[in-house]
Amino acid sequence: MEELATTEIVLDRTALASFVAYLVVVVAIGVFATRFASSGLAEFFVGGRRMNRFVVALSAVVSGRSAWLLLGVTGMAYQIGASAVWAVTGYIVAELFLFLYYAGRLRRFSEAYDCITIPDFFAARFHDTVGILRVPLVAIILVFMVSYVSAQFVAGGKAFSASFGLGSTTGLLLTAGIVLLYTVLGGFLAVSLTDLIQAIFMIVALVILPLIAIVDRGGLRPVVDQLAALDPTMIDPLALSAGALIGFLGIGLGSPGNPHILIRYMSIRDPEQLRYSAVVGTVWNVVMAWGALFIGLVGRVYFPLPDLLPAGDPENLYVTLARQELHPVLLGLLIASIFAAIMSTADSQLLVAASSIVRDLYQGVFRRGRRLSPRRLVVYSRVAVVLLVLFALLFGYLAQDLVFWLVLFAWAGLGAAIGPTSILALYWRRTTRAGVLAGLLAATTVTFIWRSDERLNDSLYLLIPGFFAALIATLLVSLVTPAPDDADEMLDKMKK
Amino acid sequence: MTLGFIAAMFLLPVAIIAAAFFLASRKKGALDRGNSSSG
Repeated sequence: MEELATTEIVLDRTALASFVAYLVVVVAIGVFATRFASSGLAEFFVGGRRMNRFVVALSAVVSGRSAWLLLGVTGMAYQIGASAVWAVTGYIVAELFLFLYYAGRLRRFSEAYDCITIPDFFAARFHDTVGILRVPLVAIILVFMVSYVSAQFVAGGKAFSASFGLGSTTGLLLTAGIVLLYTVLGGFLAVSLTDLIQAIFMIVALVILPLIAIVDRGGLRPVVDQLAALDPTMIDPLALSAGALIGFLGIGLGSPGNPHILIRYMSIRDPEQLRYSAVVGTVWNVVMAWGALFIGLVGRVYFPLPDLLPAGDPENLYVTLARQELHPVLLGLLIASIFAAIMSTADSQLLVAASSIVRDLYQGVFRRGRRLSPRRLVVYSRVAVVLLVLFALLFGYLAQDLVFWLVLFAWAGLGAAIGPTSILALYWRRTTRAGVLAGLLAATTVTFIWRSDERLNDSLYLLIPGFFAALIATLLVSLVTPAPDDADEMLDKMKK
Repeated sequence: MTLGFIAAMFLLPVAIIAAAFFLASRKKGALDRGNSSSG
């Protein structure tokens, strides 16, 4: 992402006009959703649990896919060839199972116990009245989510700078300003509806670009033949070590622990419809991912050596190839797809962070048991969104190195802490509050240690040891602590 | 084009989508019922 600014595009007038129109539509959605979002916290943070199955499918999928898919996966396929397929397979399969099995349980429980955040779910499931689980969960979510949001803004700033010749600080402020505007006005509904548009932008760009590029190079067979001639491992999906294969597939372990994805499942009107969302979400995930992979492969034929790309960085392939092959209007669409990826992730993460402050800390801990006006809570939530944006901007400006260090393992940190504990909380009656607390501590400790030690970090993707450490810690501590007496009733409420 | 390449780049995505359809449709009628809400 950091090298994006080196790829100067500077869009022509038509492309610029279509891009501005796209931004106007996104903000208009925020205005449209304002009234609905103002009625209460459930409306502001989970769309009143009334979201359409198609919207939930696409929103869940694109919230989890940041610019990593467009720039990172294309760059990875460019570098290592067909074996990059395993980096997308893990999360796509994991999210299929989440839609089909995990999501329905979480959705039913959250309605039965009025949960609108992931810490809410844990607090209700384990009778956490004093914040033993809420507080560490909020701490984990805030640290990683704010870093995530901050990094998305920085990436957006660089994309703006590269596309429009603006200074990166102006670009950073513009990205933050647009996301802030529609999120603060329209809350979850605006975020989900804009995700819908952004999902369409992303899939169109990821289908058009590889198709045009492959046709331009004479078709798929000549492309594959040229790849094989360049380096036979480029067309071998198994040309990677066992550790790399496990690490790639292990990316999928992050999906059940990232609250900006999970909250989408809680927002669907009818949990039975999650099966439909599973199909739509999987098709979308697959088409986007394989589009990115084909861009990487055909890109290698265009630019056989990384030195031919700006700054020698494979992450610049997506924009460089588009600039070479696409009509200015399509180029505008492709640039919009990068913003779509950035904004669809940042807005969801921003709402999750704001909900942690207002719902979990303010309402759940500091003002617990007191009657609070729903409209006032929405006002506080909007203030929290504004403050978080300011904080993320400041954090990105003052401590960019720390932000990027944290973001490198935000997916893993959240996935290891919340993934195994939430799966056990949803499926295993014997899970206890102490067990979950032990799981959260184990995950955080192991991921931080793993990330800090270069040798460990290079040996295996840190999410895998973090995830299994949390799983084992939760299992063991749950077994040695007294079994909860109402778990049967709670798990029954999760079933149909 | 090698068999491995065809499997990874063409058969695998089709297999994942087919698995999604199969698992989702195991419950009769789950894909047929409408959902009229948009939030």
